[in-house]
Amino acid sequence: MALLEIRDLRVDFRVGGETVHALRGVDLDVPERSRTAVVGESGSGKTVTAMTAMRLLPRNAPVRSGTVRFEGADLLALREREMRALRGARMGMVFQNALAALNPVYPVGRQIADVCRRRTGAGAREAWQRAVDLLAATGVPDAPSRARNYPHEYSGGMAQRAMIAMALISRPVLLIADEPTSGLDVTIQQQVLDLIAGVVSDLSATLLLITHDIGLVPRVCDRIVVMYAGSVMEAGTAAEVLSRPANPYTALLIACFAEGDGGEMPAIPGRVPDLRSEWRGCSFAPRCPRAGAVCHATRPAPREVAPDHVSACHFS
Amino acid sequence: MTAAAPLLRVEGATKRFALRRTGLRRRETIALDGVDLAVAPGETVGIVGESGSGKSTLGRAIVRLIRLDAGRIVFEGREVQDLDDAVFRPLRARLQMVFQNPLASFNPAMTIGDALFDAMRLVDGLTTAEKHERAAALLADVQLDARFAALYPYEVSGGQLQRAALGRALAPGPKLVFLDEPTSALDMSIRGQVVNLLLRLQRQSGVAFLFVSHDLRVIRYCAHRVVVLYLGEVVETAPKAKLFAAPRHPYTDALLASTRLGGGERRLALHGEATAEVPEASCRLAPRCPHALPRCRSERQVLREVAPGHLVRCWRAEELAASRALTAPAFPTFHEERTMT
Repeated sequence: MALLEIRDLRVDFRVGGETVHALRGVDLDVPERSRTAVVGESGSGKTVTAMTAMRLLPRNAPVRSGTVRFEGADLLALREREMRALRGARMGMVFQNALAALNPVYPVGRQIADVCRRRTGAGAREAWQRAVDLLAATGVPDAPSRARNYPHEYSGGMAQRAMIAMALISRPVLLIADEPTSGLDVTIQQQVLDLIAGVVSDLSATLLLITHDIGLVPRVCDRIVVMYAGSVMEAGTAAEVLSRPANPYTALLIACFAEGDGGEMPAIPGRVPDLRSEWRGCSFAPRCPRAGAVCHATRPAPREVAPDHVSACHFS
Repeated sequence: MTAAAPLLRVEGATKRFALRRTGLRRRETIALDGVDLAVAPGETVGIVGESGSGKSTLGRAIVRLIRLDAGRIVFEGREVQDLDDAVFRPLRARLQMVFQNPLASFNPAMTIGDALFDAMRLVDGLTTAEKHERAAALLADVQLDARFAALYPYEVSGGQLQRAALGRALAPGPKLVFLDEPTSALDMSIRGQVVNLLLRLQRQSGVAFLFVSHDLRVIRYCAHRVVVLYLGEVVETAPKAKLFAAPRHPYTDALLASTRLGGGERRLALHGEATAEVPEASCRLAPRCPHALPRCRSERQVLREVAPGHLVRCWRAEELAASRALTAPAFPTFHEERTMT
């Protein structure tokens, strides 16, 4: 069984009297010790999926149906107290805007030490030393003095290293990283990705990487799940899906990231559907060059197109 | 392209910003340090660089949002920095801009049609009827159907609004449009829609673009020439094809490697982060450069021509190119086994 197993997950957001159907029956497996990427564009539901797994959805977003199992336990049935014991301990997380995730009025080292004291019951002196060690281990230069700096004195890349340090305190078995390199300079992105891959490997942990950038996937991950408009379009090993995409959406998305010069830049015509509405057919049908009548009428069920390679497309 | 008299010429652009004081010492950061740049009519010049490279400062100086400490900005033969607002105003019609976040750059209380109409204030001698007609034509040019004129900015998608922003910039009939990260807020699957539109509009009207982006894929499709900035200095400039096929500067090479799908070759990764605290007498990239030698730390680098139209700020440019250390790898396959350190 997979470490994290999501089945038929449906989540709605209630916004100003309207309902946004963010997840429309998501099935997703994160096998133990895999590095799984969930890739999708705005509105695909990739972040909502991760937030549901952490049980961090806002109050206006009830889970309509579905199950989320982590190490076999049904997370959606846990009490908040039990969930809190898992979150940050068995499951670590790293978010996009690290500078915003840190408290601006305390030194970075102190924030890491505080988490360390709470998680491990360490004393003040010991926790501080651990914070400095973790900062050094995540590549913050001159850690003993940088630990005393405030978040505004950190660059985005350094702040992300500090967040990773914080996530490592209790040696999580699952690290969820939601767009950890978005907003960082490209030369820094690679360093942060290397760091994440390194710590996951050191801890023998599992990685769930949420990203809009399919180009990052082969650098870090061995598995990929492609989402569009609240459902999973395709899933499998990264090598297989990226070199032999079975779903037209995946194929078109990969083309958008490919390099080229001269001529037209690849793009997918149209726009993502309005998530307030519901439809019977495939979510991608209105933009899909291969769509036929069946695509507009019936939602394609995910089907195995090759061993360990699933695609939700009538024509895969 | 260089044969024509440039539409825009930037010479020795220098801008410093004061940082906080430490004791009695006032600390400054150099945002731009002697940047030269020219844009010919109908040409697209791409400016690439990361945070702190000075690309936004340069753009803001060109559209007169800030004033340079030193250097000249010459548009259609006139130094624009010294002009009175009243004198500059007619020039504004010929020098337009498009920003990163389309939603923030539209008045939320105005429909898209009104915004296009309003942008024609800068054009003399158009009747109201002509302005309406022109607004409708612009919508068609940016491939939005007529119903968009009645919609408010929040009612349309980011990609559609960015196309409307482009229409608005073109409304007064500019010769040059400064594009500041126009595709960065857009999903990858629709960036191409905006880029292809830019290419088409340029073919139709001969407008020139100065295109700032950190997205090299986008630059590669639309620029004729590329200028690479690092910590306020031009480190490399070349015609697009040359720059992408054979980058000569280690920084350009690292940028190209880091955006390549699949990661490309890893051996040229830069160390650490950009820091402005590099000794005066050192190459600014030296602390991060995998090819740095002692000489790099004791000698300020100059921008020199290594091939016609190809300028590089690195004394090892030829040597590194010859050793093929800087050549671009072939398109990567996804089958290769990756090892993580």
